[in-house]
Amino acid sequence: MSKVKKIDVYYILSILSVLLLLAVWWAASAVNESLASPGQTVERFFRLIENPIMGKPVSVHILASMRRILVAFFAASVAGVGLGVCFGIFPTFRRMFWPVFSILRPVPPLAWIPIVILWFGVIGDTSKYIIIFIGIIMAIVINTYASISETDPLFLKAAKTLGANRWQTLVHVTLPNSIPAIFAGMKTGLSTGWMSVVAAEMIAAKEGIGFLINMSMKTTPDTALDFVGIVLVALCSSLVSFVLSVIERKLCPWLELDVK
Amino acid sequence: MTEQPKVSAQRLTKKFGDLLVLNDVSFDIKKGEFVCLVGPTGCGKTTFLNLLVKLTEPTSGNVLIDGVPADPQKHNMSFVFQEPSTFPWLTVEDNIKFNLEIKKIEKQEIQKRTEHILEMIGLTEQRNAYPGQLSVSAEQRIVIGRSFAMYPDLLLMDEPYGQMDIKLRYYLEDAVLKLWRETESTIIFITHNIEEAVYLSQRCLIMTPKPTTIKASIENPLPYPRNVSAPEFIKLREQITDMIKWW
Repeated sequence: MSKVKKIDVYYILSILSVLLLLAVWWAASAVNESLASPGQTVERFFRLIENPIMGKPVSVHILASMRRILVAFFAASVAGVGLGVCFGIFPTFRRMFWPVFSILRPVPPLAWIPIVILWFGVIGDTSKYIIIFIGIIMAIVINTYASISETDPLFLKAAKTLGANRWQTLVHVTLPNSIPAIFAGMKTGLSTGWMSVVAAEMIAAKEGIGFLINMSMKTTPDTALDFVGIVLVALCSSLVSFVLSVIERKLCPWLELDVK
Repeated sequence: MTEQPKVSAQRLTKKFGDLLVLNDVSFDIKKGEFVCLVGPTGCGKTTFLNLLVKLTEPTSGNVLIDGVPADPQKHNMSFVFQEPSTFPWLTVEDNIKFNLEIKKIEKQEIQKRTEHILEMIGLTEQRNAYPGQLSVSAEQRIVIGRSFAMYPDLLLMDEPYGQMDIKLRYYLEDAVLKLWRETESTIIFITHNIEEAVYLSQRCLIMTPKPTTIKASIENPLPYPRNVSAPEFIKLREQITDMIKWW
């Protein structure tokens, strides 16, 4: 099968899978009337534009969540890659701090919410940034460390015999080789990050998609509003993932190769 | 006064635990010489090259380059491994430039050498391709080109054509000879293919199985280019084969 035809088939399959999800959603709402259907969700979205909750347009909620995830993601990426590199190349640093990291790693980011709120307060975004940051950074550290420490020994030997010192080997060999794994960690971290955004906003926020979802449970259950929140999270997270994939493709052109 | 050898192995011994790999090996290699190390698989040839580039340390003895202990960061040397060791994230051109940029050579000079090497290895048109888009043989040509781009004083080649078919092997052997003549490098070439050793080298060092010592040093006075079916070529090849059979 030619490459173009293969891509066409992949697109059709992707569209079909989304249509299948909508069909399952629609069928579930037909069986259980308390569940909003896709149509009712779209209708609720337009009502939300006409009658904003607490006077804030829906765009304010979307931008608030996007700002929180992007700021936390940027900070977690810088810190996560740095920490992963340090674990990968400094054995003493690894021996000192890996046990601490290993103990903290399995703790769900949501478990930190009470402590962070107690410390940094409900007002302002600091507490939310910290919770989202914790949600994102773990996967980035793990992937960066794993890819740095598992660099093909042949690349390292080649760099050494070509006269590269330790720093040059890191910058010109180990890090470029690790970029795909680092991006994989960033994508995994983003998923956890969105969970943390919604959770943090549900507990302590006056705006954001998580806040909208929380409002759907406040009086009478408003499942259509809940679904609006779910769809917005899905669309926003897809947008961020898409941008990340574009950046990855730009940085790793060798990964999209014609077969030999 | 005798000329200082380019490479001098002095009473070199290497043990891995209780396993004695190299046993009191000593020899000299002259500047600009093309020497083949010939011996059975697993006899410690690669270990010797690894000692030269400090990928491993000797248990006792010394390896000197130009009279001082070997150090890839100080000496202008390159290594071609058995497997193609191209960097997949760099284009053909950037792979060639890799060590030139590491050694902070002037940009103009880097470009000049890169064009020269690309032409010599026949990959000018594929300069913007990534190694993953090319065949294994083209990848190995990139590695050889990258090694020669430094115009190295010393080039170490560890069975670089081990997994290639005969046609490609001849092509690359001629490419190395051409580059050697142009750059006047000293080359240490490891092989267990006796015909290859006779075709390429000015001298063959015959190694014994483990624990390895140098069994013989055989001069190869045949003029280049060599004809593998010439009687004198066959005679030399059989002489070396007989030495190996003697084990």
